[in-house]
Amino acid sequence: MADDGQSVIVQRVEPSSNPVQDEDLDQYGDELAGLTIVDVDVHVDDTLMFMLDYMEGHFRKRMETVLQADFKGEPGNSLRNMIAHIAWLGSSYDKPPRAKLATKEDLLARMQKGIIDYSILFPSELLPIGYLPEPEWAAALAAAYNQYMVDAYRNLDGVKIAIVVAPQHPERAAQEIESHAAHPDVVSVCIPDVGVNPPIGDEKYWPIFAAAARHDLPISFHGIEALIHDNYPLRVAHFHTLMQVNSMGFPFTSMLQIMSVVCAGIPVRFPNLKFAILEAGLTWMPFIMYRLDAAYLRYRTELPALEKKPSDYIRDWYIGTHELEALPRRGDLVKLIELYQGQDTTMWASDWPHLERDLIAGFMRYEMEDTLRRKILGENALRFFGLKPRK
Amino acid sequence: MEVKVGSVQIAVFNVDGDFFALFGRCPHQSAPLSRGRLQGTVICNADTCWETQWAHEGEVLVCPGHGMEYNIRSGKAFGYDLKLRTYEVAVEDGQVMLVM
Repeated sequence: MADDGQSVIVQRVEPSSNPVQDEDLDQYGDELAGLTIVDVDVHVDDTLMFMLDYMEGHFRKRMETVLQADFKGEPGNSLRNMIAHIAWLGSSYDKPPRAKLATKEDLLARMQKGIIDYSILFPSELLPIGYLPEPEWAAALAAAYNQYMVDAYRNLDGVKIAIVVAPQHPERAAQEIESHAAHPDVVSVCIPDVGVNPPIGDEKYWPIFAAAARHDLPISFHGIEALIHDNYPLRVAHFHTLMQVNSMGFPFTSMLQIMSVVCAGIPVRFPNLKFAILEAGLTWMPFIMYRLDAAYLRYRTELPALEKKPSDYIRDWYIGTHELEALPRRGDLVKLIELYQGQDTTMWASDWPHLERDLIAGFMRYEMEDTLRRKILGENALRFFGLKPRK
Repeated sequence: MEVKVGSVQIAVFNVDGDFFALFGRCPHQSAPLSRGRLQGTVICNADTCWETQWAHEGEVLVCPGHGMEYNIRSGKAFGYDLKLRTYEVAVEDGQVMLVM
């Protein structure tokens, strides 16, 4: 390793035994005081039992059936556990690879530390919604989730909501956007990354982008493990361990969504629409940008709607830092961000309270100018989600 | 054909008696644009209702290196935010002259 004064191994910070306590925020409280801090990827307990009261007719009956089933004895039953973690059940022993659940009270306690200005709530249970083969059922679940979240988490200081849409039912997805766009606490439309087939740039999804653009609601693609066998866009059944699936699934699916959206010319058709990628890390951004640029020379006539090279569009995408890769030297993060030109688009994200969440210490240990640190910790997110500074 | 004015290479084209002159090296990897062919290209925009269409037949200069395309009249690259310098061409008494 080079002896340049930067050769300090950045240690992974292990989460405390109770993830919802978030003691690292206390540890960094003085250093963060006065800064705008936006955590752009926060999860609360949204297990299916909360959605029962928001479903009607035969779908309510169906949800009652779901809730009677016993999947690993999880509280409220878990869509993720049902369809995602069965294959690797218990593989990490005392660190079960399932989402930790945070209650509304946990969230409020974390906000009351006075450090985080905004928490943006993203779905947990409905992240695999793209897997569901029945469009109407998926759309009903999304509608129930959105109404539950808007009812349960409205008018809380600094708490904002990303509604979720079921891409396999574009018309209902557009209706969801129309229904909730005017709500002051709704700040983004979440499209889960995985299971969406055909690729998300396909013309069938344009009603979703058109509705979001009409209401100036930014689109957030949120990653999830590509766990289901033979599901688009990755076939990961070949891998023997959850670690392999988890490490590659998020970035690869994110790259595929970016490539699909940009190559379909959606940024040209909806020039004011903003996009973000969450929960996929950062290091692959230069790869997808400049790999596409190299191919664009030969294949431009396949993408005649583009007015610029692909990286000129992708560099406008916002990106959440979680799950921040373990770069070896303290100066490496700045170099990486320079490579993908992300000074004004990178946003700090914790994924709190999930097990793989990033502690803020993991970000603070990287060296950078204060101006860049302020942008990443909060200012870029204020701009992306259209939020006013609270400090 | 390519002409050299000082240290600058300029690509000059005769399209059925109309002359065009542009900076002669592709900014990508400096391939000689004078050896590029002229053809049309595919367009897709609001004017075409986002349908693909063949357009600009005979006006698109294709770089022989890697295929970057330029509008022969404006020097503007298709699909890139860049423009080649163009030069006015005058024809007097059978002589082709570049206005520098």
